[in-house]
This record gives sequence, C-alpha cells and structure tokens, in this order.
Amino acid sequence: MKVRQALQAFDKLGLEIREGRDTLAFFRWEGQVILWTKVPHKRGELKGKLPYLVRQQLHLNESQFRELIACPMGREEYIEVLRSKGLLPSSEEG
Amino acid sequence: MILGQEGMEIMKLAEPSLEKLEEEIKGVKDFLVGELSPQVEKLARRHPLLLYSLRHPHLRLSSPIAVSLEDDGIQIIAAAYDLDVFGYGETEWEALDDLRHTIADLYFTLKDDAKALGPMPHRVWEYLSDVVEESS
Repeated sequence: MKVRQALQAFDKLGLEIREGRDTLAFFRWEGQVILWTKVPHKRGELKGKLPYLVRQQLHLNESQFRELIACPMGREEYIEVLRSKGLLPSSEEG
Repeated sequence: MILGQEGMEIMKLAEPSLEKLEEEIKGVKDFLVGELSPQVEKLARRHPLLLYSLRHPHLRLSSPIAVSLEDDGIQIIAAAYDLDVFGYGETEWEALDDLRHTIADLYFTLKDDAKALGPMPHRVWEYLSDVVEESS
C-alpha cells in the first residue's frame, strides 16, 4: 500500500489533515473528534506493519479497509461502520 | 525380554493405540513448529517499556506511559496502546522519538478540542491530561 493511496482514502473520508512530524489525520463527525491516524511524510510504500496500524486506528476490518482503498467505501458508509462500533456519540444523529 | 503368548496379544491390542498416539504426537509437533513458533518468535520481537519523558520543552509526564516496542522486520514500531498512537523508525531511539512527537501533537490537538471529543478521544484525553503536565 502506498502513502498516496492512504492519503486519497483520508481525503475520501473527509479526514482533517495536520502536518507535523508526520501527516496526522483526524476524523470529525458533527464537529467532534472521533479518531485519528497518521502516515509518514515520505512518499512511497507504507511499509511493514504501518498499513495494519492505520487500519486499526481507522477501526476497519481487512475487507472494509480493502473497500476503502479500492474506492467503494465513502464517508457515509464509514460513518455507518463507526456507528455500529459505538464510536460515534449516541446522543446525536449524524 | 521374551514375551509370552499373553504378552504378544497385549502388544497386538496396543498397536493401534500406539499408532494413534504417534499421530497425536506428530500433530502436536506440527502445531508447535507451524503455529506456536511464529507466535513465540513474534512475541520475542516485542517488548514493553515505560516512557518517562516526552522530551518536549513545555510538556512533562507526571506518570510514565506504557509503550510496546516491536521489530516488524522492516522498522521498529513504538506503540502506546492506551493512547491509540504509534511511532516508527529504523532504530528504537527513532521510533520512540517519533512516538514522543506524536503524543505531543495529539495532546495539543485534543486540548484544543477538549469540549468536542467523541467517546474514544474523550477517554484518551482524560488519561492524557492526567499524565501530562504543562510548564511555561
């Protein structure tokens, strides 16, 4: 998996990017921070365990992560995944 | 030892059980070599430590943060699972340094958004704001 593909996926999900030592990406919903992940500034491959760690931070299983990278999953589908895992505040509806 | 007729019959009866036992032992051996060894090897490449400092000019830790260091074969990963963050690098020092920066970045981000945090970030912030102290 390439860093570029991860950044495209972040863009598709509407993650807020903050450039620091690495590229930090925050997912917000209804103005609230829900989760975060990061990728290196360096372009090229996300090596070793990094794709796994990014997937873990996005709270996606392997097939959902593949769908995200391959395109079928968008922000709305992602919100449903997070909602099913209880990661979105229950008091409000998205 | 010379077996009598009775002994021979007992041996004959025991033969299938011995074959079964042999098969079971082979199964256990295959499991140990094929399944368990890689897991043990994986665990051996991971070790826990406590992070006592963020090496940041304005942030200090009042309590250490639990970190897991792991060699994934390509790089070293330093993960703080309580905070849901990780760092990486070619050496343990680089991975820990990257993790320290990420924790500091996360601290300031969550601080800015302290009133707008979802369930998981809220729990992380409660912990992080408890172990991190700001100095001027």
